[in-house]
Parts: sequence; structure tokens; C-alpha cells
Amino acid sequence: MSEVFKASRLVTKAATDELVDTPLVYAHSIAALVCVLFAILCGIAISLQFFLPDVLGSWHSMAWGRMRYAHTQGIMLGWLGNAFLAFLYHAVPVLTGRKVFSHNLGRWLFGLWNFVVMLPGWLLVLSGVSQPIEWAEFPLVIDVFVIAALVLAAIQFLPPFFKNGLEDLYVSSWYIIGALVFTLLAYPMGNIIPELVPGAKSAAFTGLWIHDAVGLFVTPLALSILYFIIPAVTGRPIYSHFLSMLGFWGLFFLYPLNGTHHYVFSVIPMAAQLGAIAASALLGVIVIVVVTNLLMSLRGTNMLKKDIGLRFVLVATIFYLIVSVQGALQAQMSLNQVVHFTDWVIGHSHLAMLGFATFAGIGGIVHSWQRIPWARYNAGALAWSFWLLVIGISIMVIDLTIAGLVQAELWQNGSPWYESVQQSRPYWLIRSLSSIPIVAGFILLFYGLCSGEKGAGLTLLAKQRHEDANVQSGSSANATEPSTSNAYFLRMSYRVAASAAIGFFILSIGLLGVWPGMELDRQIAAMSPPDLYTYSESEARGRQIYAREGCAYCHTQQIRFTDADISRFGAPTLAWEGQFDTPHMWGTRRVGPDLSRAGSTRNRDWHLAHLFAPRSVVPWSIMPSYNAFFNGSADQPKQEALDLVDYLESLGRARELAWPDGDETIKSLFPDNKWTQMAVTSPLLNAHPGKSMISGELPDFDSAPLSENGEMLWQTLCAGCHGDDGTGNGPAADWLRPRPANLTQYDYTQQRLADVLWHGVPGTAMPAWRDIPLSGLNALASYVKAFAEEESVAPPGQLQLVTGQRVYQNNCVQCHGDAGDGQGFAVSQLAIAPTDFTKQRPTLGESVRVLNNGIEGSSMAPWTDRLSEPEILAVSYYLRQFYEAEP
Amino acid sequence: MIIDIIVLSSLGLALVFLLSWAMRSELRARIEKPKYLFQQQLNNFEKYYQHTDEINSQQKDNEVEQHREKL
Repeated sequence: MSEVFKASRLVTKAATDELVDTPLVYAHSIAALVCVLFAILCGIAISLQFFLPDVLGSWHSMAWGRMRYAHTQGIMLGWLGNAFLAFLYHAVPVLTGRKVFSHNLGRWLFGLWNFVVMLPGWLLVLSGVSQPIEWAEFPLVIDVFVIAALVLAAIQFLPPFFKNGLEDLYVSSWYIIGALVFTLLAYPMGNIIPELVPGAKSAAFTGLWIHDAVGLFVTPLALSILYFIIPAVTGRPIYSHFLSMLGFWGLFFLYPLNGTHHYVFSVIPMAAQLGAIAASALLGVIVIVVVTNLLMSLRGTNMLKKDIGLRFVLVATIFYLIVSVQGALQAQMSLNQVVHFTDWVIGHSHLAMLGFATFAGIGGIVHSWQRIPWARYNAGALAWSFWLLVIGISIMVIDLTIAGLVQAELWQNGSPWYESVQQSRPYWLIRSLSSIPIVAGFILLFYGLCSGEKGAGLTLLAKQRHEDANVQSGSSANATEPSTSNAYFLRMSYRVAASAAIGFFILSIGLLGVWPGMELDRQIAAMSPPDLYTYSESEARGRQIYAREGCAYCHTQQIRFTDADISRFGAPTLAWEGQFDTPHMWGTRRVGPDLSRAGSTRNRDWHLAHLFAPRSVVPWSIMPSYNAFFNGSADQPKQEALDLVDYLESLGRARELAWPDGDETIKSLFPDNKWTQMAVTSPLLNAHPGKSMISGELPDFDSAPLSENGEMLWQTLCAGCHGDDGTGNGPAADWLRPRPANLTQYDYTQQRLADVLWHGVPGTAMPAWRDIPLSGLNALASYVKAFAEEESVAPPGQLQLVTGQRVYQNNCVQCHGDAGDGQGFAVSQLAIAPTDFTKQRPTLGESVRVLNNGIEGSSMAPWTDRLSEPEILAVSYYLRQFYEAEP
Repeated sequence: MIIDIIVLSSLGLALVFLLSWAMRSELRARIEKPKYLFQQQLNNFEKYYQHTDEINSQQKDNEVEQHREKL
């Protein structure tokens, strides 16, 4: 009896015994659609916040980071997980001729996946219990149930394959077995190990998981759908089973070895990075082989017009080619250096998950659903769904890719950060608009599966078959009866290959996880300062809040070994810097700037104001408000806000306190290591390049005419604190101590303005603006100067000047100095430098006001208890004479 | 070192597959066999569904007939 006949008899018999568990196909399909709609709504909510940051109000559970966690887990586990399970309930019995293990087990698996993993997982991350690891955001307690569900899935779907033997397994079967086995191995590795090892070592494992989640779970199951549906619909075998197997083993070998390409130019050993880059390039080649085979299998078919599932599969195949070639290219150092952390990568991940995998998943659902005798089916609605999804996802991916290139250009040429945010806004708007056809597409998909007549799918199928009788032409004549020796050879080769695949997986963990970890330990031992700065209790709590709120999804803490990063954010991040970060906070995207050295760039009041009402201090900011951490005002923070600010202020402190004592030692320890030399020879060795400084060299500032550029910069950078009119009454002014200066009440020399703009004012909320081009700072200085109001002051009497001099000498000289230049002998004891009256002259009224009221938050106290009104007026007159007006 | 391991292993794997395929015609047939077996299984399933559909249609016709008789 031929093998073919044996199989067909088996299948026919089994089919009549209700081989396919259609209720579970139905249940998982519906669950998938419910999950995708919720996950996409989360995605829309977070995308809207890119240009309407306050759109969701102050509902803390809807905070950006939490929604982002719910979005990614919803797409991967809720949508794709359910879609794949629905397909498996149809495909495994067809592939094996056997029922899945147990219907009751299937009900348990359905309940576990949706009501113990997805629902509680979403509720937990939205209520702030989460894990800050990309594609692993559900907390560890949920991971336990995910692993249990994966075990149940393996029990449910694997036995039918093994009962039939391995030698005649079709490629879809290989992918299904591979996905179930390797996801079970990779999931605990990616979700648990980063919680156990800190910093860069944690990142090495995270990188592995990010790629394993896509490469070992999503891609194999999506490919199993493509390889299943194409022959099922066209009625012809695939072009080459040999090429499909070459692709299968190539993918399972190379996917896990790609992991470290998410951290190119990082401190992870370069050998591991280069290995991942090479594996990425080879993977691109393998994918071309796979896609060629799939497209050759589709050639000449007329079923694309008739079968909607096949249409989804074709587009999935094309998306797979594009996303894989794109992935291989962006892993290469020259492109990675430019586009990493930009929206290019977000476009890439959406093309993978919402393009390739989603189209494959829909293809699988539509194909399986159409064959449920009692299910409704509306081909018209499904056809509309297809086009809407193609249009929506294409617009989104193209838009994000262009946005990424725009951001890359601005980051490379050193433009201020706000420019990349401002210029991205139109693209972010289009990204949100692209969700309209996407949501409409999914709603129509849902409608298409729940409307129409019962059994309409099968009726349509029968009609198609009737119209195209040739489609079912048997191909079994091509099957040859193999010799026993070859069967043995093949069986053995598959066993060897299966063992090798397990070996490859272990190899990937060894090469890209364990070995880099050992290398990083050696680096840490050699380079770590002896007295390492550790987190205080408050800072540690703040770090947990930072993780919980998803801050790392917009702010990296990883300065790469690239010129653009070093000039903007400071010296590259070294392995020892994350020794107390478990898991790491390196991040994968920069919507906002890197925060590795952020602690020295803004003061505490500024951070509190920024958390409470971000746009009060940074008018162009798109950061969500965290006003839930306050009692109604930025100057009434709850403990959470104080902890978070403590953590933010601690960032970079360890590095700043560690060197330069050790840099010469490190240079000599690794004389030939280009990367180490790069890390310890930055212009500002330890600190953020934008750190406020008391003094230092100044570039040449020139007088510039009033310009629109100056006004634009004022509105962008300064108006939040100083107000539109420069009176120091901006939205954030009441929360800052000392209050922002009232610029209408001062004359400034050009040098003073240059000094403040270039160095900031340490101890106050006034930051340094060294990231703004010099021409812009000149324009800004001219704009500030123009605020000064003319004051008609009667000339002082001689007696007044003598009194003023006496008062000044007795009370002011300790801080402001004999010459009024702010260089009194007490200066070194003051947190905020006293005013230098030679470079800035207050109006008479402002001087009197300050002497009467003092400056809250500084060492300048009110003098009304020691000086009389005439004395205050006299000294106010007197100090005006110090001003050295420029010609 | 890592890059050598990855590249050489990948090339080695591909080479073993290709040489096996090129040098042993029987093996070529054997490797391609699962796609034909799968096609046969699919054909049987499609026939089964067609049969189910015919039964469904027949049931529907019967229901209509019964309805008419009642009327």
C-alpha cells in the first residue's frame, strides 16, 4: 500500500469523525479579534499622545507607558497568540490526519490564555505592575501562566506529529513543532534571566529575547500558515520542499543569533555584536530563498482573485521579504549608526508584527473559519477589510520610515532635540490617521466573520472548486516511493538537524548571552571604580516607578560609541554603570533624549514642574503629565514624585564621581581597544555636555538684530518659565525657587547673556543651552535684551550715594564683592552665585523689591529688618553704578 | 571568533543540504515527498467539506420542502 493512499485513507476517516475541533477554532478567532481591537485602541491612545499629550487627561491607568505595555503584549500574545492557536486547531489535524490531544485540554488552554494571561496581564500593567522589558512587559507572575499555557499547547498539538513519525513531515509541521518547542525554551530565558542579571548583561539577554519572540514564536507560526494555505487554495504543491526545508533550518539556526543586533555600538563585546550582524545578513539571504519559494508556489494561480485568505497570505509574503531585508540592512553598522532609536525601527517592528505576522494570522483565521460548516461568512466585508488593512499598514510603515530618516538626519547633524520632535509631529499625525483604515479593516474583518449566511464560506468554496475543476488536479503521481535506506537516511538527518537546532539555540545563548556576560564581568572588574555610588532607598523606589511607567520606552539610558551620541549626551555608557540596574534601563527608542547623565542638567524644582505639567517648563514637550504623583500642584509632590526625581537626579552621578582619577589607568589597561579609548577621551569625560557650569570658556557671541529665530527660540525654550513677555511669570514660574528672572527689569551685557545661555545658572532651574547653535543663541540674546524696559530715574543725591556706599560695604560686599562683580569672599559657600552688577543692572524698582522681599530659594534674604527705606533706596542707587555698559 | 562560527556553520549547513540534494536523486524525491502527501490530505479534506456542503444544501432543501408542505 502506498504511503499516499495510507495517508489519504487516514485523513478521510478522521475527517468524518469531526477531525477539526471547530468550536476552538471559532473561540480563538473571536478572542484574537477582541484582543487586537483592544491592543490597537491602546496603540491609538499612545500614538495620539505624540501630538496631543494631554488627550487622555489625568487618568493614571491610561498613562503612556502603561498603555504601551498593554499594546505590545496585546498584539503579540493576545492577537497573534490566539490567531495562531485558532489556525493550529485547523492545521494540525489536516497535517497529521489526527485529532489534537483533547478537546477539554483545549478549553483549559483557551481559558488559561485569555482569562489567566491576557486579562489579568492587561489589568496588572495598567495598574502599574509590570516588567520593563521589550516584548516581555507582563509581570513575572503572568509569565508563569504563559509558560504553563505553552506546555499545554505542546501537549495539545505535538503528539499527533510524533505519532505519525518524522520522515514525511511537511514544512508547516516543522515550523509548528519548532515554534512550540523553541518558544517554550526562549520564553523563560527572555522573561526571567534579565530579572536576575544586571545592566549590560541583562541587555544581552533582552536582545536575545526581542529577536527570539519574533524569530522563534511569531515567524515560524506565520510561515507555517503561508506554507499551509498556498497549496490548500491553489490546489498545487509548493514549488520546492527542499528549499522550504533549507529555509526552515536556516531560520532556526540564524534567528536566535541575531539578538545582539539590537545593541550595536553598545558596550556588549564587539565580537558578539559582529556575530549578530553577520547572522542578520545571512538571515536576509535565507529569507530571500524562503520568499522565492513561496512566490514560485503562487505563480500562475487564478485563486488570488477568488480566495481572500490567499490574498492575505500573498501580502504577508511580500511584507516578510521587505521587513527581513530591511532588518538585515539596518543591523549593518553604517545604517544602524544612523537609524537606530528612531521611528524607522518602530516602522520596522510594525511591518513585522502588524504587517507580515498579522496578515499571515488573518489568512490563517479566514482560511480555517471558511471551513467551519456552521460559521457565518461574508466575503464582501472580508474583501473590504483586506484593502483597508493593506492601505492602513502601508501608510503607517512608510510614514514611520520617513520620520525615522528625518530624525536620523537631525540627530546626526547635532540639531537641538526639540527640532526632531517638532519635525516629527506631521509624521506622528499621519501615523495616527493611518489607524483609521486599520481599525476599520479589523472591524470589517470581525463583521465579515460574524455576518452572512451560516456555512456561506463552504458554499463559496464549493462554487470556486466547481468553477475551476482543474484546481484539484492530483499531484500524487509525482510522489515517488522511496527506498528504505533513504527513508532511514532522511529520518536520521531530521533527528540530527533537530538536535542541531536545540544546539543552535543553546549556542545562541552561549555566544550572545553567557560569553558576553563573562566578558562584561571582566570589563567591570578592570574598569569599575572602587567606591561605587549605589542607589539610596528613595532612588531605588524612584527607579521602580521609572520602570513601571515605561519611561525607558522613550528615554534610553545607553550612550552609544558613536560621535553623534557622545557629542550630545556625553561619554559612552560602560558596563559597570548598570551594575545596580536589574533589569537594565537601556531602552530601544528615543522619543525624548537619553537620560544616562541627566542628573546634572536640571534642578529638582524643574524636574517636579516637568513631571507635573511638562509643557509648563518645556513648551514643545510631548511628555505625558504625571500629575497623579502630586497633590494638585507641582510644589506639593507626593512621595512617588520625590522618589522619581531623586532617581532622575542620581543618573550619571556614579560616573561623575568615579573619574577622572581612573581614566589614565583605564587608558593604559586597554591601549589597543578603540572603544575603550573612545569612552575615556571624551571632551567632557564624565558629565553630560549640557550640564550647568559656574564658569568656563565662552564662544564668541555677536550682537544680532532682532529676528524671528530669536522669538521662535524664546517661545520654544524660555517662555515656559519666563513668560511670553519676559516678566518671569510663565506657567511654571510659581513652582520654581528661585523664581525665573523678570527680564524686563534688567539691563544685561552681551557677555552676561552669553554666560547664562552657555553655562546656565547652577542651583536654579535655568539650564545651559549649549545644544542650540551659536547663531540661535545670538538671536535669543538679542530678543532677551529687547525686554528691558526704559526707566526714568531721577539722579541720586550725593548724600544718597554716600549712604548707599556705606550700606553696600557693610552688608553686600561679602557676597557681591567690592567691585559689585559677584566675587565676594563668601561666594564659595553659596549654592547660587550672587548677581554680578557689572554685567547686569536691575532697575531701581527691582532692586528695592529684591531688598524688601529677598529671593526665595537663594541666599538673598529680605533686608527690611536691618535697613531703613532710605537706606534700601540709597543702596539700590549705589549698585547701579557698577554696571559696565557695552558700547 | 563568534562571527567565524556563525558564518562557517551557516555555510556548512547550507552546503550539506545542497550536496545531499544534488548528489542523490532518490533523496531529492524523498525530500519532496511530504508536499505531495500534504496535497493529498488537503484534497481529501476539500472533498469532505464539499460533501458536507452538499449535505447542508440537501438539508436546507428538505427544510424548505417541509415548510411548503406545512403551508
